[in-house]
Amino acid sequence: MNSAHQEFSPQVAEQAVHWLIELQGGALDPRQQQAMQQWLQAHEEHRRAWEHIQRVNQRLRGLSSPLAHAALQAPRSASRRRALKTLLILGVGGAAGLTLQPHNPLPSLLADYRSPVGERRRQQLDDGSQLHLNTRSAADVRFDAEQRLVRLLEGEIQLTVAEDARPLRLLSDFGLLQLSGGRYNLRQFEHYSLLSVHQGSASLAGNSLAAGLQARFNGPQWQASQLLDSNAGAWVDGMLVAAHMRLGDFLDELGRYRRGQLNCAPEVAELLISGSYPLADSERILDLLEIALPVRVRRFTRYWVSVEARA
Amino acid sequence: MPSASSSSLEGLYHAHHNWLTGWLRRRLGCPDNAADLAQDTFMRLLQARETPVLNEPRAFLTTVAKRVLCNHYRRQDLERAYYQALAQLPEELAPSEEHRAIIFETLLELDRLLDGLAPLVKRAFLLAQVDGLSYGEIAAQLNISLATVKRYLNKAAMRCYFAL
Repeated sequence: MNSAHQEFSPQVAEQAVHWLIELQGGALDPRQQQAMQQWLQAHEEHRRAWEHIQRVNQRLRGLSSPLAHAALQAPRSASRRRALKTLLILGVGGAAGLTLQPHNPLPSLLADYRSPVGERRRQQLDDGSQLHLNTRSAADVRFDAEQRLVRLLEGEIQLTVAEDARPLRLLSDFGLLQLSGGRYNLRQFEHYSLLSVHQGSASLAGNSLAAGLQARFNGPQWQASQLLDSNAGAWVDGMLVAAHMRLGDFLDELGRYRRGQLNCAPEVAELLISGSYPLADSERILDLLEIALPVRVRRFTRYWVSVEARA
Repeated sequence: MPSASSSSLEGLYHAHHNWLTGWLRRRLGCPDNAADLAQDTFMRLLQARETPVLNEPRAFLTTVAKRVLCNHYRRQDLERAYYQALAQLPEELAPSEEHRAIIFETLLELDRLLDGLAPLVKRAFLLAQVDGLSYGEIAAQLNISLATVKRYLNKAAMRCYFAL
């Protein structure tokens, strides 16, 4: 997996492509072979460029031929042509001189991390930072020479940020954060994001949030900032921690780790529950509920479970 | 004022994020996509090498957003072609559910990198790198000379591997 932004000079790129085309055209004669060996060994950048081509080729060979040909010959629809046209007409305003970085060549796709329902993933990033993804979560990671950028696409991540001269920016649906070295937990809700600062400090539009605090945001201001919740970040250790939590809230939390419906009957939703529960086996947590509380767990199917008052 | 500092981009984000989402929503008629595309727009800005001087931030934002919008439309076109082709594949040749998404994302990226090249150049490249045909076979299939095959492959390779 490689999320580093690859930078090669155009000359090296041209040389690497030249050797690729030669090699694919048939076996090299001994003189050519020697020339290529010399080229590879002449410079570290040559070797990296060559390896980069090999990595891209691995991805290309994994494509399905009929799908690749069909997709790349896809006709352009009218709406896109219209958009392109307005772009050409209007695109010469103040931003005409802007050169956006071209799309990274293929391997950058591998920088997208995703975890399915009920699973957690851990990823070491190139700068030594650690990225944990909670259940049903996704994040993009783009690092280059000037900055480190992480985008939470859905769900929840915990990020242990390594010290580095480049700033680390974290983008959620509701705001753009700048993080110092430290440990942070970011979760996306429907109408806001929730950041917990375990170590370090986070800045949102110039307003900082110190270690030991958590706060919501859906604009340039922190909202409802408070001390860290006992459950904040416990998922990284595979635990769900409740301290006098409403059963309704507890089951909402537990439901994130399961497929299907997990319902809570209104008459038991206000019961309070405490304790640490291992997330690895949510069926067992449901069994424990029947022991700890006056409730009954009804399983209509594997994917449709209701927690009700015990008769 | 040179505005390459992080604070100006953050200021831009907070001052105009909602406005841009609204602008995209009016174009798309779909609130979910609009929010996503607004984020994509800021993602592109954050990844841009140079941040320009911003006299007219909204004109600037819409210019970038239009490019994002173009990509969005192209994605829809590609999706349509992809799933049509998928439906025609015999079951034993169809990739698994999980691989479908990965293959699609790879094709989307490839399409962007090769955008603007002639259809024949793209086909030659796919025949070489995806199908693994020899230059002779590609020349015969596309009815072009061996030298042209090499020239096409060179052109496409510079784009695909190095975005040049």
